This record gives sequence, structure tokens and C-alpha cells, in this order.
Amino acid sequence: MNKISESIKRYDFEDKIHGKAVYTPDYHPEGMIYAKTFRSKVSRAKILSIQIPSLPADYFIVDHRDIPAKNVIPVVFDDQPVFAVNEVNYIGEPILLVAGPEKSVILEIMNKINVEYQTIQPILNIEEAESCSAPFIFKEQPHFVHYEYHKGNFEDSVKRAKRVISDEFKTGYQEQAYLETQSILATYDGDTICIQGSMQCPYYIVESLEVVLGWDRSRIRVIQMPTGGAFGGKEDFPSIPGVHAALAAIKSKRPVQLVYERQEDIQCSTKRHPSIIQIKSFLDENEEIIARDIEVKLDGGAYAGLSSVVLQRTIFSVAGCYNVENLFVRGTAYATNNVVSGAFRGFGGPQAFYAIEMHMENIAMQLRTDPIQLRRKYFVKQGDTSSTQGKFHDPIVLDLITDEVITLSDFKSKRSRFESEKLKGIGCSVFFHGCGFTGAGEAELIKPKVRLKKLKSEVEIFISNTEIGQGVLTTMRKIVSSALGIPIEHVHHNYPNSHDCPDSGPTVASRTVLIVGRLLQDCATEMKKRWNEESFEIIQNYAYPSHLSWDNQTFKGNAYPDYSWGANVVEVEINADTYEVDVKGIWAVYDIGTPIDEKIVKGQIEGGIVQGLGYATSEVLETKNGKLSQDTFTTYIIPSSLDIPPIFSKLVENPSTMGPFGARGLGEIPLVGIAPALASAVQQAIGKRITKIPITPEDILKEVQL
Amino acid sequence: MSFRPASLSEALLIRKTNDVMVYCGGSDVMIKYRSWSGTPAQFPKDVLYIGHLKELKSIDVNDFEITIGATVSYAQFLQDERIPIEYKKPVEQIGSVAIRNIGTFSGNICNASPAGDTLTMLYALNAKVIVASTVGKREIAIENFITGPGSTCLKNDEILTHIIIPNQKFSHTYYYKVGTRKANAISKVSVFAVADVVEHRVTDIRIAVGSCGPTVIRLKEAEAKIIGSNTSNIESMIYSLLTMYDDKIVPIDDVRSTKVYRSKVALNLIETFLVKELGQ
Repeated sequence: MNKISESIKRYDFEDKIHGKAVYTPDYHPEGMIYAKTFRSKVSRAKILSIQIPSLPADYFIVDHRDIPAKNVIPVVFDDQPVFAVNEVNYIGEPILLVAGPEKSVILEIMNKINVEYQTIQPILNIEEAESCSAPFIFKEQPHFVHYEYHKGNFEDSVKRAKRVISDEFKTGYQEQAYLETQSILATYDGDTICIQGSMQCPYYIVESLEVVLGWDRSRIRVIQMPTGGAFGGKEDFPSIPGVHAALAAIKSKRPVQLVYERQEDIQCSTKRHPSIIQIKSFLDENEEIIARDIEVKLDGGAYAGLSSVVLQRTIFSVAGCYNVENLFVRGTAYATNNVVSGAFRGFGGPQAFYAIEMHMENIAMQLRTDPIQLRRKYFVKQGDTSSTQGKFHDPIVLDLITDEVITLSDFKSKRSRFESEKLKGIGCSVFFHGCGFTGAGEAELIKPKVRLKKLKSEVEIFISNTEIGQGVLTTMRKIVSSALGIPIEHVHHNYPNSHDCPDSGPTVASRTVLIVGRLLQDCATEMKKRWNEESFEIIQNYAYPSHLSWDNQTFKGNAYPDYSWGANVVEVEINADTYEVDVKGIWAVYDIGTPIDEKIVKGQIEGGIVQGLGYATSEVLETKNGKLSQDTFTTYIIPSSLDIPPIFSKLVENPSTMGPFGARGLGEIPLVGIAPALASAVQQAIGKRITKIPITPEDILKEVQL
Repeated sequence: MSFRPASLSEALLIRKTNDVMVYCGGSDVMIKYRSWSGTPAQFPKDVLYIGHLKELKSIDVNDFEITIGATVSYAQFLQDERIPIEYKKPVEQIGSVAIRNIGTFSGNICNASPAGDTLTMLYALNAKVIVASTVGKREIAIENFITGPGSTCLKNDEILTHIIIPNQKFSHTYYYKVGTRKANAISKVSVFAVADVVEHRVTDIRIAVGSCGPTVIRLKEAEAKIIGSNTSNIESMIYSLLTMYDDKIVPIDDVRSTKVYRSKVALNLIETFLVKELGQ
């Protein structure tokens, strides 16, 4: 084992375990007041009037009229307002804030606010969006973005085909279900606005405040507080409560706490995109897959948010781990009057791999061939090109990963045994996750920087990446101390503060270790050369690797800087009386390069698997007339500790050439492959096809009764 | 205004002279009437808190009856070694550790949800409740006490003080709860059943089905049909028995499950009990 992989005690454990960590809602600076968001109760309407009761002293209404510069939350497109003005587009859209010293008085004021709406026919799902006409939600079209790309000679291959196998798959919403709800504290000293809160990306909030306030960056400060989970739900979303609290603090000149209630948080924060994915495989006379036609449709909700980027990752992942030479892939992110869909661990990957892996299972079934053999035949290898024609420069060890997971789980004998044993099944999946921003995003959009500062024998790390439970305050110290060859106690690293941490990019996309960790390693290597100097600092900039290329217009080239790979096996038994799925075991093998800390890696693997299990089974989340039906933890069912099956995980050795000490990204991949492996297992157990997730006992009853 | 009486008699007096909501563990009402965290729950009425009353905090067990005081928590019930293990099964699966530490049978009964986790057992065991007021006590069978979803015949001046479970041994007991997950879940369907089989002949049987109608369902006519039968004959009767249950099981579609699923699973569980469990 590599020395760096040996686990050490995490630096955030002490405070969190002893309950000493001060989370945003625990922090009550003197004079602090509370704010609450008044939200739309209808899914689509014109606002005709808003009646506000007379306010007691020290109470404030904050709305669009308090915005000094632009009423827009900048994400990719500038379509989402900070506060609704003339129209609302989803249930839960913020209209104004009520702020003041007493929560009970705020609630009284909220109850007396009256909005007169003139409702407009809402667009409530992908199917309605596909056939809708004006008035549109976004510009003059039913979607935010539509993309297409080709590989090889798709048209000719289709003509050559002797057989077509087609499928349609549906996936549902998923809620991140972080323990700590969205929480922000804003303070204003007459010159500088300071945002402290629960977040993944401090600089996204900085950029939002620049746009909304029109202020110079020097007057804006964003600090991450200890954060109770995020899973993508605190990527782009905290910009909204961040800006809201800032506006309230500037208006009231008091510190303002804005903390969401659970039901409010579930109803109005971003969710995983529901999808419909159609895949057609074209086979020649030798039953070789010669071409694929894939169409992806996502429900983006009412505003564009990150839908374009999620859609890109979905369509770049949906060809799977397979080298099929001729492809026509297209995707559309539709605008609907639902809650805004956004980032969630896996970022389009879980939908894509659910679809392609279930499709591979179907092909194996149709061809009466072994599903593992079928997959192996098409596995991508070093030197092949990806679906976007980027060359895979590094060794790809899918065969090894698959061998390991098959052996560990005893897949072959169980698979054949369960053919005759009723209600038992076993399924597998093979998948990847592109690490880092899409295409050349790291170089063109983020331009990450890191800073190391030396003072005598001590070194401090300054990066904008956040500790969200994934261990960044530990792994970055390990990387820097290993590169410098100094004891880790001499390396210091705190929660990021935008005033002294350069923008090293958001804490997303399985990029922190791979990209930021590598920059820190390079920075430390430079520092080591000058070690005899007493105190100095180094800022390291990212450079796009010369062997990669990307064209963002044609989607040609290396869709991601690096890839992590994995395979899962899930074994199930269905209860004959109740149709409940009892998961007997989950086996998981990954190539994530060199693990930076084995225990942290295991934590990420098991947590991701459990979140994938919820996505595949119990986490039903549906909208009815634009309102989410499951908006509490009583009705939105995440797995409990008793629902977690035995998990057996293993890493294969294949160090990355790009990441620090050979490490790749890991945060997302454990979630990505669970749903298809579980669904395949259920398919075998009941002898019927599964084409949607989550799979509930109610669905299984429907299938077995047919 | 809230009341925290020193004794049951004081509590009954308050109940008589004020329009109050009785609050024991609070695990249902604190959720139902929750408000913005940091502000008090928005109770529709003044609250009469009885959770601390010591005189209602004991379990009495004799050869004939198990008497559970209104303020006995599920945890206390589970820790009591005099209680038969079979009766602990539904209680072990209620909510989480925290809920079992604070929740009570009396609260579960007065909340009268068709999904109440103790109710199927109480119906099957012919449990009774004692309600008291300043003028006296009434003893009411559980199925008469609960009148519909969320409604009971508890009068405005009464407090449920005790639950009485006949202390009877059965040759067979069966419990299955289908929750939305394995712990901390509300039931989609549940069945609690007991039977006495003497030399292959069924001498007593009670089957209670939860979450499948406005209240817990027990079909005495079906039970009467089974009593006296030889266990080896039950399989031949199963179709007509299940048809009787099917007629009376009237579940709804809701956020947790569907009508179709609840009916089918309830019938499956009844069948499993009658055919597999009793057949053994």
C-alpha cells in the first residue's frame, strides 16, 4: 500500500463528534435577526398585486426593489430572478423576505401577506413540455438547451443493420437529504457584506453578490461554516439564500440568519433531474452492435440552473463503457413549472448509466447471451476513443474490475442458480465517472488557483474547496505534507474564506482531489525547492494538459480530463407476500487510482452506495400539479441503517497519471452504478423487465400480477 | 395556556373545566402542529400535559390481565420482562429509539390512525381502555373506543388512563408490518394475528389488519368460520375466507402506497398466517 493511503484521524472529527463544531444556525452574533422567505403557492401565474400589512418597528420586507444592480442569480443563463417580480414559475419561488427580531412576529406578518395571482396553464412534466405551445417559460422555446453529437458513420450503419433493439427508461427525482438544511448568516458592517453558511462553492456566492449588488469583489466576503452534508444540493442553490440574506442585512443593518425548514428545503431547493432516455441499438448479421441512437430528455424545472451542464454529462456518459463506433446522441433539457432541477452527486451519470446498463441487459436477454460477456466484448480500452472521440490515453482496466467483482460476489454461480430459484436475483453494472469539469471547463471556465504560504516551519493551505464531509481538510493536508516531506502537524488548513483563499473552483464534479489536489502537489513541489527561505507564498495556476483537446461547439474531444471506473453487483430476494426487495449484498470494485486515505475512501463508497440504493428503491419523489408530494422525512424515504445491506468493496491498482500521487475522483462514482445492478437483480427475481426507477414493492406487484 | 397538573385528579378537574388537548409523549402532536423551529408548536387548544404523571406510569401484570398506564412509554413496556415477547414485536418496530422512549400506547390509541402500530395487536387481543372523568370511569373495548380515522369516543372531560390486555397464552402469534422502510417508518399494511390450536383443531383465532380501512379491521364472522376447523382443512377454505376479507378491506391510495397493493398484501399475509403458520 502506498504510504499516503494509510488512514489518519480526520481533522474535522474532533469538533463534529464532540458537538463542538459551530454550524451556521448555532451562531448568533449580537443584534442578529431572522429572515423567512415568502414563496409562490402556485406553479405558474402573473402576480397582479401584493398586499403587505403595516410592519411593526424593526421588521423589514425585502423584495426586488431592494436590489441595487441586477435581479438575477447568475448560473449558466441569466433567467432566474433573485425575487419574482411580475410572474412566478414554480411552487416555492421566492417573492420576498420578511425579517425581524422575533420569529413569531415574522410568521404573523407572513400570514397577513396576500398575493393576487392570475394563473397561467402550467407545464408539468417532460411530455407536456414536448408538446407545449406559447407562452413558453424560457425564451421562445420549450427547452433550455438541445444538444446533438455524432460519432462514426451513423447513417450508413443504420442502413446495414439487420436488427434493432430499443428501450425507453424513466428515472425520478431525488432529494439530496443533507442533514443540515440550507443555512446562511449575513453580516454587513457598512462597507463589506459577509456571508457565512453551509455551502459547496464560496465563489459562486461571491459571483452572485457581485452581479446582484453591483459591488466590487473587495467588499464581498464569503466564508464556509461547518457544513452538514451537501451532495450537490449546496452547489448552485446557496447563492439564492446567500443573496437574500445579504440584501436583508444591508437593508436592516443587522446580522441576518436565513435557515430553511426541512419541508421548505425539500419543496424549493434543487433536485436530481427526472429523465426519459430512449436507446436504440443497431445490430448487423453477426449480432454485433454497430450503431446506437440515443435520446435523453430531462425535466429542468422552471429555470435553467445547471441543467445544460447536467445534460452534457448525461449525454457524454450515456454511451457507457462501450466502444460502439457509430453514435447519434441527442439530449434536451425541458423547461417545466416544477421546482428547479440541479446538481446531485453523479450529475446526470446515474440516469445515463441506469439506461445504458439496463439496455445492455436487454440486449443480452434478446441475444440469449451472457450479460457479462456481452459487456466485455465492447469495453473501451486504452487508445480507443470515447463517445465524443477523445482518446483514452491511460490504461483502462475494466476487465480486471469486472473479474474482481464477479469473483467477490460469486456472480456466475448465483446467476445460474437463481434462474430456477424463484424470487431471487443478481445483477451487475459497469460504469465510469468523468472527473473534473466537462470538456476544457477547468481551463476555460474555472481557471483554478491554489495558494500555499510558508512561515518558518509551518505551511498553510489556501483553497476555496469546502469540507462537506468528504474529508478535504484531511486529504489536502496529506497531499501537501507528503509532497513537502514534512510532518502533517506542520500543515494547516481551515474552512475557506474568500478573502484569503483564491478561487480554486467549486467543490463538485469529483474534481477536488484530482485537479485541486494536483495543483497543491505541484505548488508544494515548488515550495520544497525554496524550503530554506523563511517565509514566502506560492500561487499555482492550472494548465490544461497538452495531450487533451475539446471543442465545445461540436462536442468533440476529451469530455473529461480523467475517468474513474467501477462495477457493482447487487443480490436481492423478493418477499413473496409483500414484494419488498431484500438486498442481500452489494459488491463494488473501483479504479479510483491511488486512494489518498483508505478510510475516507471507504466512507465515500459506502455512503454513495446507500444513496444509490435509495435512488433505486425507496426514494419516491413525485410532483402533483407542480407540488412535490413527498416533502418530509416521514414521506420521502431515505434508507435507514437497518436498510443498509452488507457492502463489500475493493479498489484495483491503476494510478492516475494526472492526479496527485496517482489519485482520481471518487465522490460521485459509488452512487452511479447501483440502480442498474439492483434493477437487473429484480428483473431476474421476478422474470419481468424493469424500465423505471425507483422500483417500489407496488411496482413489483403490478409486474408479477400481469 | 398550558397545564401541568400534580395528579390525575387535578388533571381530570382541568379537563372538566377547560377545553384542552391532552398531551402525553407528544410524538404525534408535536409533528402535526409543528411550527418554524424556535417557535412554539401551533396547538389548536390549550395543552394538558400528563406525560409526567407517576400514578399512570406503571404496568401491572397478573394472571388475567396486563394493565398499562397511560404514561408508560414503549421503551418501558419493552424493558418489562413480565410482558410476553410476542406482544413486544409490534412495539419494537415503532418509529426510532427516540420515539419509543417518548411514545405511549395511550397516545397511539387516542391518535386513532388506521396505521397506528399498536392497534392491530390491541384489536386482536380484545384489549380494553379505561377512561376517567371527575364523575367516574368507563371501560370500553378498543374497537368501540376508536370510531374512525383520528376519532374516538373520548369525551371532552375524559382522559384515557389505562389499557387492559387480557393475559392469555396462544399457541400461535403472528405479526408483519410492511413499512416504507425497515425502521422509522409508518406502516403501509400490517397484520397481527393470534390463534389457539389444540390437537390440530382451531379453538380461537383473531386476525387484525391495519392501514387497510378507516380503522383496524377484524372480521369476527370469518374468525367464527375458522374456529372449530381442523388446521388441515383451512387450505380448502382459504379462497372463501380471503373473499370475505377482500370485501371488508377498503384501503386508500396515498403518498405511502396504493389501494391495490394494500389489499393484495393484506390478503397474502392473512393467507400466510392461516395456511403456513397454522399448518405447522
